[in-house]
Amino acid sequence: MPNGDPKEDHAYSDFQAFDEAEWMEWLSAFLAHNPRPPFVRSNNDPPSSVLIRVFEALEPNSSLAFNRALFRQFEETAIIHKNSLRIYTLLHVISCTLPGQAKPLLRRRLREGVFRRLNFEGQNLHSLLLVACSKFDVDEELVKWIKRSARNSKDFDYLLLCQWVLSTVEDDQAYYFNERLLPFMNDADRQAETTRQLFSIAHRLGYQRFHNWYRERSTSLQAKWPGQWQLFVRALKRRLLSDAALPELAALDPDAVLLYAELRTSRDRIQLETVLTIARLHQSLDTELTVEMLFKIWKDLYDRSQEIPWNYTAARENYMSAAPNQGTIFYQNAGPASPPPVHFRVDLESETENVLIEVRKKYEAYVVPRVQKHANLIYRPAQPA
Amino acid sequence: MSWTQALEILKQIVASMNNNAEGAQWLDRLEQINCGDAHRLGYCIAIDVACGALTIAEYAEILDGVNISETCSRRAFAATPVAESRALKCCSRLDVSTQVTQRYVRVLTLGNFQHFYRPNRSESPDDLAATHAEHFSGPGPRDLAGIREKWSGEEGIVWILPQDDYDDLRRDRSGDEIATLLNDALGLYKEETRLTEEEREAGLHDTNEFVGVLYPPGFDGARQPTTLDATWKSFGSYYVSAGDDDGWGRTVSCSGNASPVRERVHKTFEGSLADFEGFAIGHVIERMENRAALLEIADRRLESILSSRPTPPI
Repeated sequence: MPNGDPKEDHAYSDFQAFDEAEWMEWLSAFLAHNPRPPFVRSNNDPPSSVLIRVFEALEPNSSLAFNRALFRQFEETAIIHKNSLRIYTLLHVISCTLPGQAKPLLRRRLREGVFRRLNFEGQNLHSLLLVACSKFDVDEELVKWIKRSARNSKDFDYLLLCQWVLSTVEDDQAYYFNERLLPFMNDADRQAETTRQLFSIAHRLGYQRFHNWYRERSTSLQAKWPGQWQLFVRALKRRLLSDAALPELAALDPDAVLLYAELRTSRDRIQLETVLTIARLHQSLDTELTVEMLFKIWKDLYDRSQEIPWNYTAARENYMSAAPNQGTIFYQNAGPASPPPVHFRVDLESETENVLIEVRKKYEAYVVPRVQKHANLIYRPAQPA
Repeated sequence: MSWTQALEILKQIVASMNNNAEGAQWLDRLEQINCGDAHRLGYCIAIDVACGALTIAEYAEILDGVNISETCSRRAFAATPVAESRALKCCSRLDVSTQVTQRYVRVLTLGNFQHFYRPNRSESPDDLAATHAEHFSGPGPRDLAGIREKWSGEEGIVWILPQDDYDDLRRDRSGDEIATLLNDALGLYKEETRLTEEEREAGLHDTNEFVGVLYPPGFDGARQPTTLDATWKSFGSYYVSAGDDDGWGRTVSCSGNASPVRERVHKTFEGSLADFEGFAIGHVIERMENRAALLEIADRRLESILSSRPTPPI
């Protein structure tokens, strides 16, 4: 019985001595689907993955020769439809192996827009070229070019890609780019794609910038694109900053809590359920950080409205009341409204209670000097019987 | 040894061809093993015929298109017009029962997932990390909503296994242990990760890392795989047809050590993947290969079918 085919088995060690000319020959044959020795097993992987694996196994000298040959392959490939797979493969490999000499030519091809009419299996090669360019450097020129090219584009996939590339720049323009995407965000799939990408962008750039953008732009965007904005916010709440996801997100970046609260704030008011969800983050964050975040939210709402955002006594607000036995609170709707006022009750864990007490101390210190009459507001544990 | 019996079935196919002189030449080369995996191909065809998954007439029609200028009988088979047209993909005649509660799992590499479904992400570490977090490990929903590319694989079909079998494999194992076992048991033979333990613990990802997709209950359209669903263009896969009379194929382990796992295939489809759920698996730490054992298994499978069903259907 035969045991494999040595002619087709991988032989990375044979590549180490390759010079540029040998790489040129080998790559030409590989890209033409007529490979020559040493053979590498594809394992059903795309050609670009196979080449990247070969590159990763190379010693420095051979990897330099590989990259020079790779660049020449790209340079000498005619920009015609029948070369689409070849260009697709080369762009993917270049995005990882980064041959320095390729950058000017990639930029030139991008400006020329010559790949716009080429597609491989549904992937537009112009978009892929932008990805390859971005892997070298996203400088001011490229940012300008992206914004210019996106201005009149109605291609949602391309716009989404532009946002992804912009997120490599350490500022808030990727978040502002949401405004280019918003007009097209009219189905569940696009909302899912956008929020999914925003998760990665927030991981890159942090939630503080995201929060700042949201605070600054939500009112005007809501007025300009009411339907899309509503769907966008709903998708953010459900897919990006859900109750279930909050503890993990807050552990990655505590500023996520600010956006979480902002998304649930309406007319400068916040539901007590939200307050309690945040207070319970002490289980994944530490108590001090949870107190800090909750106080930031409280202070922000107070500064905006000059009213106490949550408390015991406000007549028209949801309120939090201490139960006779210490550590239990009731959520109620205040006022004469029916149905009966008690909606549900929550037994506070002692640490959550501590968070609320600490927040209260902080806001008292903040508010008392300003408005003496507010000194006794917000959560206060009941006195022991 | 059932190779002689496999040859008998292959000769019956050649005899049914319109151009059996070329068929005989192809078979002669297959027997002489002019390229790797030729005998495995012969066994697989014989098993398909013996268990009734495909007929002698169907294989005769395929081989009528064989180009004998290609000296490698495996590649010549893969290049036949019927095989290339994919017309007989996912076309086993064996019955499949679909249970309403049945759920399937697809196991694939992060690199392949990106290649098929997020093609404008590169294989650079930051893009791989983003794709992994967005679909398989992040705190948000891990459904595949928004993927508009056809849900497919390399040959226009997808290989899946039952969730029960996946759960059995993963029991009491870490992510990397599961990935290493899956790589072996499912016959995938993907390369080991090049990331160090520290890098893996730090959350770095590579293209060969395994990820999974859980199908919604009651997914319909899956069939037992046949030779025509496997890849024959290149050497090195681990597919062997199975004759078990339960509508499931059986994987062959790369090392020959892991137990077979039930498997099926389904055709590509376009539609919402909102009910499909991604999950992380892990990295392949080591791999072993025993291609001699592969042929021994093929031999046993054919023998087992022939001993229970001596006359193959024509």
